[in-house]
Amino acid sequence: MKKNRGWILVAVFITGLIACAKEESAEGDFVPVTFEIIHKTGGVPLQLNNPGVNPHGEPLTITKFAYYISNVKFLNSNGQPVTLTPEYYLVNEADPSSRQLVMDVPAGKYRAVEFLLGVDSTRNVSGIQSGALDPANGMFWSWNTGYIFAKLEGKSAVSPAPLSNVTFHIGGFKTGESALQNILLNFPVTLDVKNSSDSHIFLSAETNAWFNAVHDVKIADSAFCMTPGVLAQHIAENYARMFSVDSVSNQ
Amino acid sequence: MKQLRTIGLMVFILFLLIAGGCSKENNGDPPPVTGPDPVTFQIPAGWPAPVYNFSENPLTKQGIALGRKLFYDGLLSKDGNFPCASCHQQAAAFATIDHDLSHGFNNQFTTRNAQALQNLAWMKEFHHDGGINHLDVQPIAPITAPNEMAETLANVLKKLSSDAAYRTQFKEAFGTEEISTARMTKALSQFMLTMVSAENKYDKVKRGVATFTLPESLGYEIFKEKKCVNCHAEPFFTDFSYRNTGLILEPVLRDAGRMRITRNPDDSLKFKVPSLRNIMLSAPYMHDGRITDIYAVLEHYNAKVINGPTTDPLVRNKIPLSNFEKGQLVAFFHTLTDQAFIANGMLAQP
Repeated sequence: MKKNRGWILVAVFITGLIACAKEESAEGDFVPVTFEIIHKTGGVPLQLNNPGVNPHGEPLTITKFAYYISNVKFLNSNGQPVTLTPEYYLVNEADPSSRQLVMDVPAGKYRAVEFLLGVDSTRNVSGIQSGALDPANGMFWSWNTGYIFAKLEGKSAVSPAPLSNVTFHIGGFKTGESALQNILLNFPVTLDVKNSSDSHIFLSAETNAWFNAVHDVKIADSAFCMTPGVLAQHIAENYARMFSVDSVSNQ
Repeated sequence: MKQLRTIGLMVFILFLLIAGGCSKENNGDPPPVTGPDPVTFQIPAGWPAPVYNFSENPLTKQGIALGRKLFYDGLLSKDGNFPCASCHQQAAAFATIDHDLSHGFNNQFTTRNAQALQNLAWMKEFHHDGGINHLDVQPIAPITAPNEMAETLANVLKKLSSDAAYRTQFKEAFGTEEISTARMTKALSQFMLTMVSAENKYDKVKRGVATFTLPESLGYEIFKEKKCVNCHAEPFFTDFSYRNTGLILEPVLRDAGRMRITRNPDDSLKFKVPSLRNIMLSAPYMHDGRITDIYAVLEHYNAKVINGPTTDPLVRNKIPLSNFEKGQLVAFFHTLTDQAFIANGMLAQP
C-alpha cells in the first residue's frame, strides 16, 4: 500500500510537470530581458531633493523625474526590427521598481534597441487607458487631451516662476507639434537572448541632457513648459539624447 | 479504506496545486455567473452612425446605472458639494439653469458657460474649444479642475473603493470589484450616451407625425434662408466646427477659445458652434453666458457683430433680422425643446 502511494504521487507530479513544460514551449521562445535604468545628473546618480547645478551652472534641485517608454523594438544582427507585445512603461525616479523594465523578447542575437520616449498618437486619441497609462498617474493633460511624455520638476533660485519652480511637462502628439522621440541605442556587445540566459541591459539617463544636448534651455529664460509647442519639442530633442548603454549582460 | 481515501484526497489536492501553478490567466476573481445585461443604443431615424465606438464600451443596464449614480454623486468632488449634476442639470438639458458661469469648489467660478449634454455619441471633440478628443477622458477635466470639482483621480478612486455599494455596482457592471479610472469614466460615458434628445416637435415634424404652426414653419424657413443652418446644421443643429461669431474679448477671462488648444492665431476667439437643440432651456448664451436672452442673441447677429481678423465670413456682414423674423425664429427654436428628454426619469437623479 505504502509503495503504491509513492508511485501515484510521482506520477501526478510528472504529469503536472509535463503540462507546465508544454505550455511554456507553446508560447514560443520568449525570454525575459531586464532593463535597469539609472538616472544621473552630471554623471552622478540622481538624488531627488538634493541641490545641484545644471550644465549652464544654474542651481537646480530636482524633485520629480518621470517619463514613458513604449513601442520597444529590438534590432537583430541583420538590423531587422523585432517588435514586442505592445507595452507602456512609466519610469519614475521616485519608484525604484519602475526603473526595472522586464520585457519578453524572442530568443536571438540583437545589436540594438529602439523605443519611443512618450506615448504614440494612437493611445492619445483612443479614450481612457489603464495600467501605466491610467490618467491617475498624473502624466495626462485633462483640458487638452494628451499624455505628458516626460516630467522634470524642481526648484531653482534663478527661476522667475512662482515658488522658484522649474516645471517641464513635455508632450504633444499632433502633427506639427509632436514631441515624440524615437530613440535608438546600440549595444556595446551583442545581446544574446537564450532560453537559459538572464539578459540585462544597463542604461543611464542623464538629466543634464534636458538643458543642452541639442538646444540650450536655461532656467532663467524658460523655467516652465506645460503645453505642446516649440519649447517642448526642443526639450524633447534634448532628452532624446539622455540615454546611454553602460553594459549588456548575457549571463 | 481510510488510507485509500486519504491518498485519493492528497492526489486531488496535488493536482489542483499543479494545475493552479500552470495556469497563468485564472488568477483573478472567478468570472461572474451572469454578465451585465446588454442595452442596444437606438439611433434616431435618419441620423448618421455615432462617432462613439460602442464596441470598446458596450452599454449595459448595470453600467448605465453605475454611471448615473456617479453623475449625481458629490463624492467625485473634493468637498462633496459638486457632482457632475451641479453644473449639468436635467431641466436645462444638462446645462446650468440661469448661470452665465457655473460655480465650483470654494466659491470659484468656472471660466465658461456649462454646455448642454445631449447626443454626445455623435461628438468627436468636447469643450467649447474642442480640447478633449474622447468622451471617456472628458470627466477627468471637471473632476480635477481646481475651480470645478477640485479632486484628484487617486482620491476619487480611493473614496469609491472604500464604499461597499460602489464595489458591488462595479462588479455588476464590469465583472469584478476593481475600481479604476477607466471603469469609472466608461460608466459615466455609458450614462451620458443615453442622453439622446431626438423627440422634440421638429423631430416629429420630420418624421411626419406632427405639423409646424405657421410661425414655426416661417421660423424654419428664415432659419434656412438666413443661413443660420450653415453652422447650426441639421439634425444636430451644429456642424461641430469652431467659429468666431464676432463677440468682443472678455477682458477678465481673456478666453482665446480654440487657439488655446491649437496655438494657431487663425483660431483666436473661435468656439465650438453649439447645438440649438433645447436652446430655449439652456440660457444664458454664448461660451461665457454673456447674453441672457435669446432675442439679444439674435440682435447680436443683426447689429452687434464685431469684425476682427478671425470673425466668421458668415457673420461678417451681420445677419439682418427684423423683429418679425426674430419672433418667427424663436417660435421655431421652441420646437427644438425636447420635453421627453428633460422629463426622462431614466436620466434623473437615482
